Amino acid sequence: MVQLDYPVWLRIEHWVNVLFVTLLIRSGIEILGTHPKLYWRDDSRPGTEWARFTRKTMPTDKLYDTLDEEESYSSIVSLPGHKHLGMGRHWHFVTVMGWILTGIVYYILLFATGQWHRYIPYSWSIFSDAWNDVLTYLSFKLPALLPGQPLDAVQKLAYAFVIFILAPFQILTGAAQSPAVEAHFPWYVRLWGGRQGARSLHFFGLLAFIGFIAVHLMMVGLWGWPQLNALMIFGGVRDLGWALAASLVIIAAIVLVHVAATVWSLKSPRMVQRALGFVISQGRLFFLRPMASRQNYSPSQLSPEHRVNGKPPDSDDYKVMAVHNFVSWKLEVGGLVENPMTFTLADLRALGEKQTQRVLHNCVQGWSSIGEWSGVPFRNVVEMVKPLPQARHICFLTMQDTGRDEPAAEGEGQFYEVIDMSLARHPQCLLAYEMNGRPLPIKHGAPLRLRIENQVGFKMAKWIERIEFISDYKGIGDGMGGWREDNVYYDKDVEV
Amino acid sequence: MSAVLRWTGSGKLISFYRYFSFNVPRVTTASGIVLLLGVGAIRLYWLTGGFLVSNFPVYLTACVVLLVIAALLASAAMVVGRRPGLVRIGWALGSVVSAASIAMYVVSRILGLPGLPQLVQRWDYALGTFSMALAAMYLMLHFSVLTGMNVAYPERRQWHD
Repeated sequence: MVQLDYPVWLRIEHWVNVLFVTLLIRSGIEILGTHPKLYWRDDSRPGTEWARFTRKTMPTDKLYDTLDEEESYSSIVSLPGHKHLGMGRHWHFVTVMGWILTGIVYYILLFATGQWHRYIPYSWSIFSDAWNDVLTYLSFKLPALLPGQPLDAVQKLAYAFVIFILAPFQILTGAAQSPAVEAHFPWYVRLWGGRQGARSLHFFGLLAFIGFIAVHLMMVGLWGWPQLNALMIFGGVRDLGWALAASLVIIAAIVLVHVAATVWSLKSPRMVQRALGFVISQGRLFFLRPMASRQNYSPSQLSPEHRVNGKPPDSDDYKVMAVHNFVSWKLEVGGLVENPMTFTLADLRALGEKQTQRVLHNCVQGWSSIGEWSGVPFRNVVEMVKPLPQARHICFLTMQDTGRDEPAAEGEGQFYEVIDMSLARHPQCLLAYEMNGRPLPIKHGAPLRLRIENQVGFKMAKWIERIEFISDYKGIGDGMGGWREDNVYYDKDVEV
Repeated sequence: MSAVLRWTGSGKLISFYRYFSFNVPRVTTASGIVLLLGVGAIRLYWLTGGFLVSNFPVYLTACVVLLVIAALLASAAMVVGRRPGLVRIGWALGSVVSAASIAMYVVSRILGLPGLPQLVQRWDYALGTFSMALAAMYLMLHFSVLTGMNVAYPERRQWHD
């Protein structure tokens, strides 16, 4: 049997893993803080949550939206802290990419070198041995190690659980929260009890990791911090003083990376958005972009109350239009097209048979609802206006002025969002003028909103007044591809 | 006092628990009952000869019997109580049982109990450690109910927002 020692690759992987897991935990807490409530049901109905991590109580006598529910956590527990969801997402996703790659390399090397013997049990007797070890620990003694192995039986089982069950579980429940995955494989999200079930289970996974880390550190302390760190740093025990010092230096370095990531994110969020966003986008576009939505929930699954984000336009023009059922509203479609067009609501309704889809809505904050949307498939409009070859993106301009309509929001100006041309051709990309069989409610974007079911909710512009086909979005706003991208540093491509 | 709490930052630390609230009353009550019955069952096992020593002094037998009965009564009050007052008494009685169990165990290991001097320094008793862990977890759970982090059956959260 191979000698179960501490080869260089195992030592490097261990410390890289420490860095990634701690970054994942802190950035995950940042993401949780933006909607600090956990549910089991996909409608995320207020009051049905099973857990809250906030001191806020929302008013019952005035309108609020889910942005008002955001919690600002300290940078000590979250990355970067202080209500920066955009930054938290960038760190979480870039870290998870690194973590998965690290894990794949770890698995390969584990099995290629025979080191898998250290974790994978191959005798039922390990369970009785583990039980005896538990009794020994409860007697405040240290059990014997397994013969020829670096771990005792209960440790071996614990590591096997974390490496082969808990880590994949976190990746799978994380993937179940991706709108693209949910839209393309609706059965997959049902496997976890729905979107909110996956989110709650992902949270339990987080707790399990925190628990494992706490016990792991305690065990290292009990068995001998310098000795075990000597093995995990130098591969053997020679000078315990050096091992202790080296372990403290490595921990300090990891803390330093956390501090640097936090300060960088708080001081230069645009730079973080560009740098990390570039890496994440490559993965998103390659793996998730091809996943078109093919959802069709049953009418009985529709949420009784569909949650909402963003406040409606508070202008006289909009109110006058709303009072008159938007008969005077017009949608201009232009830019880099052969055939610029203007549509009234009646024109849109007359554009062939309306398409209806019952789908899961994923807010970037973490809540979800299921709604039925009806309207014009966007690809029909695209075919009518005939985009020029240089048109690569589509900009949706809305009637919402965030400075006026959402004074608490960070940033101001006309709300807009940009999508890539490829998304416009997805079969469930819809210009919706109805919701749940009725005219689109004002709070959900009347008279017209966009539905792109494999994206996070904020891309689905509400209160649309103009659609522009463009070759580049760098000259619009701050050039990041949307109002939220410009002002709160979200990513432009949000398949997850 | 409030200035000291603010200045030292300990006020924030103490009030940290307010960030956590759960609406799982049945799970909370079930957990409390399991923990308490666990403590009681271990005492019962000791009474029936499963302890380190066979010659249990009479006073200790009486104490243990009382603890077991109290644990059963507390569990019953927690699970069948329709009146919140009775449920609260059940939880409080459970805390008394848990605290008394821990106190007796620790005193027996540090100072010794009359008639059982051989237990001093005998920390190497797995079932005893396990029993203390169960009792400590019950106390923490009850603390979470008292502070409002958890609610216990039959109460429910009245979250309207």
